[in-house]
Amino acid sequence: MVKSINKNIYRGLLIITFLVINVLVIMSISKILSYFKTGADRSAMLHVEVKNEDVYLPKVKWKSLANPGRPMEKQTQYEIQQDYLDAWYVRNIAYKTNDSFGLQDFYTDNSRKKLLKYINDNKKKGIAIENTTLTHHPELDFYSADGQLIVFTDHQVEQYRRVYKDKKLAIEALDTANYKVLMLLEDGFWRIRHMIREPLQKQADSIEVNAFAKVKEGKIYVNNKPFEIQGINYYPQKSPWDMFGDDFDEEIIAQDFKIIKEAQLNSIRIFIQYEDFGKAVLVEEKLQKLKKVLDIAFEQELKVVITLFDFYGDYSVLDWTLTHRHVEQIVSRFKNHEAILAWDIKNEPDLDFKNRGEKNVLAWLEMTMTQLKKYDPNHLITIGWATAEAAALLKDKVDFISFHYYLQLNDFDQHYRKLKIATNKPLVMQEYGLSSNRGLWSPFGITEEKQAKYHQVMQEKIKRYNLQFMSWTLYDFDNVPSSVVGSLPWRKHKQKHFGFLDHNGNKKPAFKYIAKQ
Amino acid sequence: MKIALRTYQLPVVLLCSMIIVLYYSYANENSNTKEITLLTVQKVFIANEPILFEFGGNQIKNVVLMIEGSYGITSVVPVQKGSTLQFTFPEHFTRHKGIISWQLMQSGKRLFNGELTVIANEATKTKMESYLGPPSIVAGGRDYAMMVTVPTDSLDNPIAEGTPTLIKHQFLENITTNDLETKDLIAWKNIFSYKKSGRILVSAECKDADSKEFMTVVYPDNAIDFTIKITREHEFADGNQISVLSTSVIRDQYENIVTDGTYVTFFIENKEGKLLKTPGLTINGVARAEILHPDHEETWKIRAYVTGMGKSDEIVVNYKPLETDYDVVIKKSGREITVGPLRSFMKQIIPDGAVVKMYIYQENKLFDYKVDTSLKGKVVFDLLEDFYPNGRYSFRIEALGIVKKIEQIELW
Repeated sequence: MVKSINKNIYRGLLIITFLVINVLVIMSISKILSYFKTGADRSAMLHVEVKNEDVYLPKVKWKSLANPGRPMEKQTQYEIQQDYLDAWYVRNIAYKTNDSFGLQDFYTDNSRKKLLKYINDNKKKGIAIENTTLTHHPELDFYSADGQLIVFTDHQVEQYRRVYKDKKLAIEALDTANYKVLMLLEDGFWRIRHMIREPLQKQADSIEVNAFAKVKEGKIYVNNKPFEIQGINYYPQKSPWDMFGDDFDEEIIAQDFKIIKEAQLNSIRIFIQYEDFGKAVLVEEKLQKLKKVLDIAFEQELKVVITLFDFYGDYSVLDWTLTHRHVEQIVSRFKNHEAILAWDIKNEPDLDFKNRGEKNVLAWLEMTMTQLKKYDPNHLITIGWATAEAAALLKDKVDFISFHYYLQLNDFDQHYRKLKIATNKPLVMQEYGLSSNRGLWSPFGITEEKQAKYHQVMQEKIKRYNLQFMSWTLYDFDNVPSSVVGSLPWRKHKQKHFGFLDHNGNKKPAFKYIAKQ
Repeated sequence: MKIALRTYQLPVVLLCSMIIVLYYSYANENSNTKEITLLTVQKVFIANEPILFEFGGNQIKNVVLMIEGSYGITSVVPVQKGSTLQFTFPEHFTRHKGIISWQLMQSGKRLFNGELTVIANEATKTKMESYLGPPSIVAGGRDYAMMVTVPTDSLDNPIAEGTPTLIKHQFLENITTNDLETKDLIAWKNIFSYKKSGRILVSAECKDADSKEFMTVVYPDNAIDFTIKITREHEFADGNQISVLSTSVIRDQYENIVTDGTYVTFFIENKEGKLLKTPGLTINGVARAEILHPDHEETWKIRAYVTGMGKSDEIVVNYKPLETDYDVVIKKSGREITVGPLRSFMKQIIPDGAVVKMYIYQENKLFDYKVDTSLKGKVVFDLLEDFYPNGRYSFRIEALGIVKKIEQIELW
């Protein structure tokens, strides 16, 4: 009896295994068949699918389209510009990876052969090059009657490059050159046929300067009057780290600015998130909102320090041109706005040193400042360093030096003096504060009274050193996004209680010490 | 006082002299970095000429030369030869025309920088890439084709600006040569069409190189006005024969016959002012189109157009009536109506296909409309009981331009 049951179980198992194997075999055959039946996408043949994402956006300014051949059409000009920039982009990538991928779309056979020699040689020597162009000024020399051939001179091509030998940075250099370029239209692509580096003719870019603010002998001047920053970092109570989002409310901002003004402060610091504002292609709506904020600040006679590139973390050379377009669009739009005191390139970039490499971050900061000055010579530039130690970096490039201080009060004098010796530029303590976070997540945390005491002491130090300051921050917040301090609840909790005003807008004891005593 | 060198003093002297020697050698090494001098004076190199860059200086460490040419960047490590540092440029850098920027770097710091120029190797065999476009143009001297030529040396470097270049073209018995100079890497010439249509052959010549033969076709210009005529077997409106419309030889303003396949549309306006049209394509300038004779007396005004370009004069054509009559026979309680026999102009039975229309009225209102074509000269209309209930009907029959009315027939 038992034997026959066992036998049946074996039979059953055998049959099931057989069935399962059959199903698997049939499935795999059908997969293989369907794989072979899906051919190449036909549209790929005609190059009709267009890569839409902008990956490379150096500044291009056409000088002249006048030429003896044929009038240039807008559309063709656009296509040539795209393909020309893409040619640079694939060339940059080829030099970085020492791989010829993509070159054939943007270089004709002959010029590709030339490029390959350089790439193969570098590969042999263990050299890799990170290269990006920053500006192009093409001037059309000739466009043929049949619209198939173009010659132009690309003036003042600014290039930044890093040469790596055996993966170690060997050389870092900035260079400007002219290129004479001949391109041919072949099966839908404008391809580079000849490219010749030419002597540079020095041309001075004339920039109209209308400086609202400047720095002389260690002091900030606004409209030729001395100005001392006594300010605060500002986010609306309801929408911290999302000031220009859906909850944007002019009236609330106007009220808050009034509170700040009445507290005897004269400036605020606000933040622009890189992705939120649209990266390389700015969102008009956000710019409109920024303009409103600036207008309100102007009415209240508050000066604004605008911190750019919040939450930006990619400093790679090939990403530079995108960030430059971001800067260009924001900064050139507001270059004549009188409410702005300074552009803060990046909030606490020294925190990225470890992950992104100090050299990368510094090179990016320096280049971004150069770009920014080009588009707005009227306002000041600073960098919001996280520590006083890092603040002396690039000290000759910024107009005033900003640092954040969240360490022990007792150590302040030491940190400050060290920085003071290093430079005679104006020093601004751009963030400092203490969280009155006593509560469920930290039962022995700081009370509001202790917070007040902290600010009292800080104001004494500020007075003693005649320091300029911007405290953190006006309000206690209800919600702090995880992207700010991570998702751990006690960390979030801490970040919620830095305010001088509580959730409901009532003054905390610290409010007494919000301004200079 | 006598100075005596004692044996115990020897090591001290030696030590001192060693220190002095060491100091000097160290000082020398230090100052050497500052004493690097550029020895190479040549600034212009011909393509494919080896570039050897030399700096004077001893025991210099950690220097590299970063060079950048038209197509790329690299770094070069030196070879120490006595008191000179030699940098040999990679071969491809010497082959490609353009400025080569160089920077002498020591441990990431720039010591020297400068530029040198590689120019095209004019001694080598010249090569040419030429482009002629568009491949066809229009006669008359307004339209043109452009010849662009890019002369290079054998290493594919565009040759120097201002190099004399010839662009030649032939049309009929004329051969024209234009003396040009290269500018912006190219030499170019617009070749305008002549009054005659035909082909223009173009070629270029630069130094020792000749291009291949290029061609652009000169098509005739737009058609100008022309005349038309009609050919027909007879003048009767029999609805059966075909009239042939044809144009004169259509030409452009320079007497060139328009291109074969030019589309000509004949517009016909009949007595009622309605428009008929029939198209034709030209062969050797003549377009033909056909149209069926009307089946009733008609006067047609005909004009032909090459749309947007030329038009013909207007011709007026009359079609004579057949001047025959036909019978209408009603049978089977009025439900079978036979029209015919229909006869043509010589009383012959009309060929099959003549159109007969019948309008059916009831109480003076149009009730139905039937149309049929003749078979052996006759058309039979059947009025079925299901569609035409019993009652009184009137009929109006039209055939060969003759109208017949039959009043108040009782169908039952």
